[in-house]
Amino acid sequence: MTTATQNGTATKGAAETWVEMFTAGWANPADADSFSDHFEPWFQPEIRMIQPSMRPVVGKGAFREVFARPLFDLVPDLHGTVENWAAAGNVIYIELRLEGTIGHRPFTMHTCDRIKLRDGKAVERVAYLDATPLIKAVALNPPSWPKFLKTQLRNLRRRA
Amino acid sequence: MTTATDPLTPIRMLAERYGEAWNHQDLDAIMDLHAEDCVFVAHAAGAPPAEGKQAVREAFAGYIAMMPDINFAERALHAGEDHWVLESTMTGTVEQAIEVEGESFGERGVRIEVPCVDVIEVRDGLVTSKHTYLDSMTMQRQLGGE
Repeated sequence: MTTATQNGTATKGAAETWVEMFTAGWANPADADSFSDHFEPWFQPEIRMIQPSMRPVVGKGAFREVFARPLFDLVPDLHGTVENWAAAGNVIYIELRLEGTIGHRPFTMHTCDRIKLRDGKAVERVAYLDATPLIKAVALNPPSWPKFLKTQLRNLRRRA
Repeated sequence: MTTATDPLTPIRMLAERYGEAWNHQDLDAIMDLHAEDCVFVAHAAGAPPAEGKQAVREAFAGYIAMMPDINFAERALHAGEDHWVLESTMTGTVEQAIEVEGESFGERGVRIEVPCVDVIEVRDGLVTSKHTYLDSMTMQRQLGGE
């Protein structure tokens, strides 16, 4: 795949640039803050991130506090490899393989992210993700339960 | 007279035929659009990849047997030179329990409605790979698996 077509407002260059940034950002993030520092300049202030089993995350601050920090707290060595991407107009689809370790238990999961750009920056990201491998790794590693439950409780409070 | 042909039209037409075949649950029509060396990967609950036309056919037959009215309602379609990406809502009524890694989920009559995205690659007018991404946690909830 790895192609781009120009039938919208974004140019091929904008999509490719964004994918290169995305690829670099997921390749080997040191921690949640460096991950957030890498991505935030490429987000519009009102960025809206939609993913399974979680309320939408809105804004750069929420991206760092509600998404990145709990995620890297649970999986400190989380990293991702872009397997494929395509773009049309101002929309990019990226297939990403995520890998990490919970306790001593490695897991791999796949996601297809749809990213909508405005002026070269993401305004919306929807993740089509099967989180089962992550949940299984947590279930089989009891020491990770408190961190996981803390994340889930935080989500429940945000829903209330 | 000047005319212009959209190079993506064949891919869009293939995507339309493929979608219609699925929404008619017509396994032969679906498989007619697949290459011999095709691959199907459902990124859901640890499902193993199906490699080769016969294995893909068996995997698809399993889905249709589980949900005989399986339907993919298009929400967005992006066509490229050798691929298309379909965002859809998969719906269906469970006819028989769904087996995932030895566990049974769902009862007859349970209604499933899950957002999903298909990334489909094409060579010489035939589908060579179909990667399906869906929220399997939501699906398990609907099946009563939690």
